[in-house]
Amino acid sequence: MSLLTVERLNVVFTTHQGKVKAVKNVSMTISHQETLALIGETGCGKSVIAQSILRLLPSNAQINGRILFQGRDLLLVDEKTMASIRGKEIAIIFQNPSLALNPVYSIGWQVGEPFRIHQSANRNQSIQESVRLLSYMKFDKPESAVKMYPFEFSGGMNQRALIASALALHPNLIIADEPTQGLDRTLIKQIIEQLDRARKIHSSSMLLITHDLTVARSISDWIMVMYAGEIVEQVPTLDFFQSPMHPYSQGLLQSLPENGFHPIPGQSPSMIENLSGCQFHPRCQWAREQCRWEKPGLLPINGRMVRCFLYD
Amino acid sequence: MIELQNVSYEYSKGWPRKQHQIVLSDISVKLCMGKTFGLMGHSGTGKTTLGKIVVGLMKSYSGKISFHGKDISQLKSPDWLFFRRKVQMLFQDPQGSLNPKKRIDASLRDVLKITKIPFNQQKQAIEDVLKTVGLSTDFLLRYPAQLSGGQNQRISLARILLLKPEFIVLDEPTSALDISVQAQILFLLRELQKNHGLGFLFISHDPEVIQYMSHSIGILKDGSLDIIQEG
Repeated sequence: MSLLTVERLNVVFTTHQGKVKAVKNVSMTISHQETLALIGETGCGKSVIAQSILRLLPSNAQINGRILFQGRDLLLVDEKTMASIRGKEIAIIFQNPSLALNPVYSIGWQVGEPFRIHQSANRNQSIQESVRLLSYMKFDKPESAVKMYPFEFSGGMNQRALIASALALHPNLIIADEPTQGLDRTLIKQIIEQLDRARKIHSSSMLLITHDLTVARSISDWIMVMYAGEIVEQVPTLDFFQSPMHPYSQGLLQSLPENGFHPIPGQSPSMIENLSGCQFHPRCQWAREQCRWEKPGLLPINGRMVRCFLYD
Repeated sequence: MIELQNVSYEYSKGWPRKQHQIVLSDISVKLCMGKTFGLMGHSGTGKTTLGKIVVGLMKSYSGKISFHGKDISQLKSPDWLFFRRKVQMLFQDPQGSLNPKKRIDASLRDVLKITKIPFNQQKQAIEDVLKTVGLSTDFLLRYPAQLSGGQNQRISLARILLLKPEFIVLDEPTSALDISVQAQILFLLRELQKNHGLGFLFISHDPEVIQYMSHSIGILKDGSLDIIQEG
């Protein structure tokens, strides 16, 4: 049974330069205890989807479509209900931990915030809960860590504190938006292991947004590849790494170190201008005349979905 | 060539009693033009500090750094200005490296103004450098926020190339970028090195990237530099 269903989601930002079509007709489903990894280039709309789910987008964003979470359409519920869902039923781990934490509040105060907001805990109770969560996240001295401030922690420690806060109330869905960006390899491994362990213990589902394919490979069940605001391939993780079908997915795997860092030629298209046909055609080595004028649909092929005329 | 001899650096913090923390201790290494020295190490081991010392952004170090045989701490203008132009640094966060309120065109022209390039030659210089980094002139009227991370990193690189540098410290230039854009930037850097004979100090915590880019490799640990590969 699905926990989250996104149907025909479109997000358009109105800016001085024009309308930015950040997300185009995206549909996806996350089942209970499943991890879906959303991968793609910076600016392709991955984080916009995450922020649409939690309704955290700025006022210049127009959202269309349906986001069904446990049967409720999150785009239709009132703000009070939405506030009760945020942090309790759906938690988000933001990228850049140093910016996501408030520099003037202690770590303990911030990690314990969900208990104060959703469970009316007092200051002492929330700090006690923070100590428990930080020890769960394998902090050496959680009692002293709760008294420290974000600037006294390294990037990895801040990220673990954020994860602790996100997992505080055992949410049904965790949205991890680039949880490992800017961290070194050893820390990435530790953080991903802790995140996955916690997710399994609490039977949560996860939407993992990342551009690190190693991270996606290690913990996701499904991979959804986005390019220029569109889904181009949705595929079980193992199949993606064994036989990517969309030319962009193939290019991504060719960019990996083990394949010699072969870059995909060209640049991704502007989200303001309307590019006709397939969004990837200017960079695709297999592009033909049809790709320039006609937009390919998302086709079901061997248990996956692919947006490419090559498989028509 | 840039040569570091017994370079040490310590941070002091706390008040009223200052505590001293040694970040770099007795670092000696030769950084050659046309070659890449890969610098690895965990977060907080002083990789960026060493990079900033090499380009002259941090001066309170002990030891000696020489550029083409001259001690940089003794350089006076115009030699100091020449050194600062020839040895440049590319930072990790591409968007934070550019002024968000200035269009790309203005950010690039700033560099040309400092170097006193006549106005009538600026347009051509900008077109040439954009071609080198693989961008079109359509980007000139945009702001950094309207560009992707990889495009901003190319613009930062273009600003550096306008100064015709001999050596660039690359401080985690691809860690904020996607895997496909990372491959593009690494490819571009290798092409630039081949065509212009640039020397690089490539700072990264990614062993695969360091291995791919570097001729020599060193690891910073507990303030000391261990050279693990010489080339």
